[in-house]
Amino acid sequence: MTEENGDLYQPGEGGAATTAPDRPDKPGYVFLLAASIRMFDLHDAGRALGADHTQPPPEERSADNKGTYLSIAWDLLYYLQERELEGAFDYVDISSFAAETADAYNVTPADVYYVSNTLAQPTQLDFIDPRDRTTRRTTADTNLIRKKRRGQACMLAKAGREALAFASGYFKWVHAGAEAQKLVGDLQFGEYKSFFQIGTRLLNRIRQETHDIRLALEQPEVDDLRQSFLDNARRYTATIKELSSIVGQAQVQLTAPQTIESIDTWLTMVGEEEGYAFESFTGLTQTLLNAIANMQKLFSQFLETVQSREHALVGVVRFDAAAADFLRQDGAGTSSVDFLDTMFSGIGPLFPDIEDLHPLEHRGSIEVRVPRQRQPKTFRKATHSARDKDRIEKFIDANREEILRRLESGPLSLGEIAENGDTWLDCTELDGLAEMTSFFISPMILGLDDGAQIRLELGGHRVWMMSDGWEFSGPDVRMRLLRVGAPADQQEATP
Amino acid sequence: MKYEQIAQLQAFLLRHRSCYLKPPRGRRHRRDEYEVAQLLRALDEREREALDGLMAGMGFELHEFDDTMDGIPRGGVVWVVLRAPDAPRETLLGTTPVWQRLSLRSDEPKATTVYWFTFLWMLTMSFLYERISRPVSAVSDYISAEVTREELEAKTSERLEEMRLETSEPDPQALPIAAALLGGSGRNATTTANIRKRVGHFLDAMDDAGMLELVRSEDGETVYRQTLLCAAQINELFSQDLIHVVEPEQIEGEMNRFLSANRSRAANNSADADTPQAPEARETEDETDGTD
Repeated sequence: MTEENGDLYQPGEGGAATTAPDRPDKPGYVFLLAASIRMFDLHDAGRALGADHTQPPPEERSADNKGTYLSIAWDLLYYLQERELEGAFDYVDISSFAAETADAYNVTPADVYYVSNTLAQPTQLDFIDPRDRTTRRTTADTNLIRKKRRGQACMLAKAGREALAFASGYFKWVHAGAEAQKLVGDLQFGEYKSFFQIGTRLLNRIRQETHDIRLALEQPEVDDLRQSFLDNARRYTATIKELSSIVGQAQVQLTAPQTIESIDTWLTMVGEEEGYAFESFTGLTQTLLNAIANMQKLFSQFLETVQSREHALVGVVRFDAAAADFLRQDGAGTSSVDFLDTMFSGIGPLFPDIEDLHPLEHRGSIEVRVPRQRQPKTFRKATHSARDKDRIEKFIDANREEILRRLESGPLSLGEIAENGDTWLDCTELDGLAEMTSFFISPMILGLDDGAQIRLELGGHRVWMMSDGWEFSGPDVRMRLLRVGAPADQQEATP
Repeated sequence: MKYEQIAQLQAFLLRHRSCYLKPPRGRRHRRDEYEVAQLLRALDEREREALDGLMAGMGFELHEFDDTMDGIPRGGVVWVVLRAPDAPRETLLGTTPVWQRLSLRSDEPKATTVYWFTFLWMLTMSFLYERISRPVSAVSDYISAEVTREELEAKTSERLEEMRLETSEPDPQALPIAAALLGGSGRNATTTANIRKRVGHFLDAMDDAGMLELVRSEDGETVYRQTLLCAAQINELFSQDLIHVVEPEQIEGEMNRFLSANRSRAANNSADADTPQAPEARETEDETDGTD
């Protein structure tokens, strides 16, 4: 049990109770139902208001009266609660549970699925508003579990968690501080098993409340729940602070030498056999503090954003109708390509759009150029005509003979120069290899004799990547050397 | 400040847009995901500020969810990268690759591709939200939001057939969207095979971009489930983008319902305290019997 697990305390380890607390004769849920069963008889009573006759409440419970369905139902609720504590607030496949339970109760899996389907079905509960005693109110928040449309995956619903909380000893949120105080008392008096039971129940409750806050934040129709949080915000926040303070005290108490000694003694005698360790204690308090901090954060977010959220007023969006309507739009305004493109660049799927970052877009524009030493300026004096040659001239000087020799043997294209010119030309003087092609632009720099002419022809568009990383593009150019005055068949040098 | 680590985090988050400390059910960690999650968790306040600033500069916000959010394993944390509401839309991440993936031909007009995507996206959202009576704000209910390829294909065909019955050859000037999606008549008409290809490309793109994830349901069927990233993003930008999709009558109806509920609550409270009624309560005429 280390921090790598994320949760420092895993409920269920070390014998901590996740199911009903220890009762000598009955499971905890029996007390809940025993207190409720006649209430439901009254809810479903067939007697009309004001009728003269009285009808005794039903004593015979129809169909299976051995309590099999009821027991399976609570087994299912506890099973889902354990999965939730160990895993996540998520759907769980109950196929294996159904198979095991069917064996245990000597029923069929279909019987178990009947129970799960029934628990997933909400029903209406009617009551009179206690404030004016005349207004009829209803609630359909009565399904104990949620079930996926396909398959047998289920998870606890709000009512289901509350039922479990009632069965295990319910406490109001505002009394959470008093509940947490029991942790300190248990440490003080050596009631260590009770420490874990109280702590686990408190942890479950904190997580449940946090889940309810998120529900209030997300669901526009839970007005009552949201209003309840808003109306009692100050008391709620005070309870959170109180909890944090008390659990912090318990954490500090665990560092006291006498507490450590007492726990060690208990572990040696009892605790280690049941799977407890000293880290179980510190892990539980730290997990509680983390859960309280998460709850505080979410509640602050709730108070800050719930009032201003616009789409709280929208409810369920009719996307199907919107799609059908979309087909009938004229492609302007909110159905224009530009608007839709912009919209999906927010809510739609996004991928790295590398078009904007293609290397060719940026080559040369963001490259750091090392400043070269300035060449002395060329100048002319009246008495001296000395002139410094620029680098192109120097390049031509170094390669003129070679270039002319090459032209004598046949046409030379700009592409050939770009692709392999650096293998047979001396490029020492040049800044970039692309400058090799400069004589195509001003061929007279070659210094041709009077009997020679240059013919230039344009070819197709090309892109050249130089070996030094520069790139240029444009029409290919073909240069031919012509000998003026020679016979026609000898005017042009051929390879 | 460990700049190299912050850059590593930013690169991963921009590529995948989500990071799970503990992977959700049915999925393993992506490459480097666990290490990135550990680094995220270990960031101090300054480093987290720096990372947030880097993301904000690119138009994104980093949001964090703990295990009180449905679908996140106990002890888990999830970070998702959402587009900031008022950020400019031209950023490192874009939709151009989506259009390229969805188009059936290299010379397909962009308008055709965008219309197809929008249509399929709306139908998908109808399965993820409308079918389960889920408001856009119910982010945590993403775990219930599923659709199969077959369902989407069937719904697409159904809606197009309805349109075709109204007008077999819509005027491209007056009804450009219908014209593009129906594809004309004869050999140019949109076929079942075309729809199947479009839907396949659409679902693949949504899956690769982290909007949907392919999962195997409990009865062995392959379904596409909405991700937390997708649900959170839609919720974040609803009032800016999606609100235009909602029919005005729906907003008006919901507004009236909300105001009348407020008026009823105010009327109940006025019996306990001397507080003046809210102005909205006096203006509306609708009564409520206080039922849920």
